[in-house]
Amino acid sequence: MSQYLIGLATTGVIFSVIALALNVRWGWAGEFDIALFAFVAIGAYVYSVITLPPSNLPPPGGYILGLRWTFLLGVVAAVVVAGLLSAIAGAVALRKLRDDYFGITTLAITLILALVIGTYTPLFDGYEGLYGMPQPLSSVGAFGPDGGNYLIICVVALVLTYLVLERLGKSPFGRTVKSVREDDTASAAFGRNVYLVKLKAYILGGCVAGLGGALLAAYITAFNPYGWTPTETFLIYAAIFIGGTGNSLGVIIGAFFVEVGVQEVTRYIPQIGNNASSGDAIRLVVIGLLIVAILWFRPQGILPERRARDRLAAAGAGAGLLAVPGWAARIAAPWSRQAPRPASPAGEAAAAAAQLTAEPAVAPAQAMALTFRSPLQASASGPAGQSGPAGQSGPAGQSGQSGQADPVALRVSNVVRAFGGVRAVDGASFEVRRGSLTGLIGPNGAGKSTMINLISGFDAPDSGVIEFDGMRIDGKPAHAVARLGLMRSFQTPREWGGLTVMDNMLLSAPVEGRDAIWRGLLTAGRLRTAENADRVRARELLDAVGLLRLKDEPAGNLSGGQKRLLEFARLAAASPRLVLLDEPQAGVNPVLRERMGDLILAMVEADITVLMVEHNLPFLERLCGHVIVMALGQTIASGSMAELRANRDVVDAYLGQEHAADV
Amino acid sequence: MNNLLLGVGFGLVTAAILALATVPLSLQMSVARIPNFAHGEFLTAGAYAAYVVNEHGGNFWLSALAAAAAGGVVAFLMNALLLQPFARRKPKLLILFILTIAASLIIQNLILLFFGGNSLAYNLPQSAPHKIGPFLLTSLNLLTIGLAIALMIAVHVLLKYTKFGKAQRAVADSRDLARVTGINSEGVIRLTWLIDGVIAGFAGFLLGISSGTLSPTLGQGYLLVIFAAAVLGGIGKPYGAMAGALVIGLAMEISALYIPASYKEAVAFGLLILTLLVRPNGIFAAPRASAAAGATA
Repeated sequence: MSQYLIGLATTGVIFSVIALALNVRWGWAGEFDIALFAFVAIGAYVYSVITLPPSNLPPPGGYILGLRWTFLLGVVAAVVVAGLLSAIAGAVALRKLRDDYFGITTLAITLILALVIGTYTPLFDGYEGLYGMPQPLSSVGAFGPDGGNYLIICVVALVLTYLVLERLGKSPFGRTVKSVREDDTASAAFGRNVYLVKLKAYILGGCVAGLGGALLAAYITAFNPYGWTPTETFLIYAAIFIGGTGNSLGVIIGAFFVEVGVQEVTRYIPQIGNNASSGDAIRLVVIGLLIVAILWFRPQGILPERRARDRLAAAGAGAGLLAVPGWAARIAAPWSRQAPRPASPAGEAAAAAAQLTAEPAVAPAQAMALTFRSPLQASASGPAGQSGPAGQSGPAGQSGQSGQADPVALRVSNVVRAFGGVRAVDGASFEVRRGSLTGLIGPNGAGKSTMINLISGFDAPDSGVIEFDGMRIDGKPAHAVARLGLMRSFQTPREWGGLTVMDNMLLSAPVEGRDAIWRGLLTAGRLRTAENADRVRARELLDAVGLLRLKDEPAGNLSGGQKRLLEFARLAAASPRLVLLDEPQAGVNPVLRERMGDLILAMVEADITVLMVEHNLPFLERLCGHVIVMALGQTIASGSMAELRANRDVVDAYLGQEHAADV
Repeated sequence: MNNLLLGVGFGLVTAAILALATVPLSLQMSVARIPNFAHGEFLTAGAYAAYVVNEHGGNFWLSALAAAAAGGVVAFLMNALLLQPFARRKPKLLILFILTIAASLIIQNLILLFFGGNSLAYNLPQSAPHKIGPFLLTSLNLLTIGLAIALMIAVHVLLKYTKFGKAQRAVADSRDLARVTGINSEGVIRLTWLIDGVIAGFAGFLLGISSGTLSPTLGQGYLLVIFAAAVLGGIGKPYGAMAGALVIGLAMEISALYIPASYKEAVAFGLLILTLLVRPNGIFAAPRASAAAGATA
């Protein structure tokens, strides 16, 4: 193998690692990060100052450390420091910013970092940069006299990175991260702390970028701030778009294509005139055009992101090589939200599989009986049979028991929420009785949807108190409210469109800390078996709403009505204690409307408290015994529909609205 | 004290150029709503077009005209050939953002291909600085400030008193509503990009003069400062952009008196990050106006 080819291969392999880093941030989490190469640079610098001898440069030059440590320690330090800096940068940039502002913020962070490193010479010798970094095993050649042992190190690093990321990508952690990319509002509604999930993905990507930086520094044995303009990051984006966003293998192909293929082809273009930069210029114009072309003709890239396959893990699969055993779980238990499941996962999987095969297919006609599970059932014979002490995250947490005596599930007292001068909710108070099906009506602009947002934690009231089972929840973030077992639907169904219907179901089931990174990494087999029960139940629920045959389709491909049905199936999978339905009838045809009614009644039969905003009054009258009326941000009446019809205020509120509309 | 006033003087010049570069971006973002990464390249294209005319003996005004024309053409074409075809497919905002990055790569490197990477400079008459009150400014500085003020007034008149301005505000408010009331949204957007490019191209010329040399990364190097001013004033608010440019321009030049001048851009970037975190809708917006936008959208 010639030195030339070895060089090309090494370049391609190192940039593949870097591209995999960006794929975690952009491909999985949908973070439009322009700072990636800054973390590559940090990795490169840290590797350099760890492995180089102490600086003997005359001032103002110089660099810190200079420890002469070995390659491996340099790499570890690079990964750790890049991860730490990612944590800091991500903690700042990921704070509730719009996607494009996030990108601009990361660009600003990159440029500030470049400016500081370039100007403050004692750190990494400023714009002069560092050189002479040791390359391990460079003296011996695996492919004859041309060297190439370093290539083997890089390949090993790439393979390990690939395997780790593949494992994580398929784990509940990966699924959660991808849900945030698809629709982070829906993720929050189903108990995910979106900020934390995004931050984790950002840090993970930063660690991999740091690894890539260390490999790069040891390969080119020199590094300075000119080597990491934002353009370098854009080239990695080009690689990901071309290879296939979200597909690790595609991303590696893309990295080779952009960083090796295009580079080598354009190298042979003769220099134009006396313009020494013409080759570079043509290369970047070509890459710009390639980005446009791929986004136009094949936005999913050469190898599209793979859909998750729904299959049950074989019994005993948990006993795999890397299924880290009791001791690791015990060590980690204090930090995880939920104690590890005591039940034998293998036996459970077998039982679940048996149950599935034994069960006759439910005929669509009788499929109406969507089996919602009451909170008590859920905790007693929950999806994974967890009977240990339920953490705060469990839907049937301690507060549930203490609240049983109280007949009121939800209490709203004097809640106010103003947007500028508009007081959308203006001192509203009402109660929802446990186990009831309560309606919430009012003319447009009455503040119903704002109220739903306030209760579910998507917005915080300016003043007032909201209590759920005796616990104050006003001001709590949406994911925390959802974890208490208070779930909601949206006016237009929000599904994770790019993920399969089955993934949507699995994401909706109580997660109980299963999407921790370490679990995905170390106990993949156990997670799969533990998830079997969720899958079995998800199939039942999907069958009940007639969506079973679509379980492996991306949820985004479903029709509007099917999305609505999926939403109900997901709520059922979540085993909530209280559900807020925001106009479940919106955009639903009359046939489906009937079905919706049955599904809502099924919820109530399973002891789930339901508060439903609805404009369709006959529908409401058929279902709800108790109805609350809001107008101009206040609750003006409540009672049965018959009582309300006789109530002068209610009639005025509606008719007044109509008269106003006529004018 | 004297130094501080000198800094204010330089700050006003910087702010004038920055305002000319920022207002068109904000104008575009109020209507077409695209976070445009190629905005810097509009400036670069203007600066190089002015250079070509200047090389062939063109004076300040002819060069300025060429800059405006080149910026306008580049912006118009980028929208017509790239953004509008994609926009008809209703992609995510980020895809359009990424397309402008691709456009930036293409435009910047086409300029590199034709003009090379070496620094170029205009051949314009130099003048000794005048002492005006406490400030020390050249005639060119004064001209820059005067032109910036004149163009800002022109933008104001355009937005406030013309039929186009009215249509533009309508499209900015709701594209669909504007369409059903008979306004040609795409036409308004096309014209907006043209105006965007014309002003930005001219700003590029002034930027080229003030920085002394031209390079293909002239505009891109300035992009984040522009974004800082735009975000500070509230993205999509042309009047806020003027104020944002004034704040950023003064902050950069005054800070250069107290910390190494190489950090003065970092000051702008720092202000950008701070504004995005604390007041993402700009310093003139109510702090919590958008808090609940996410949940109901």
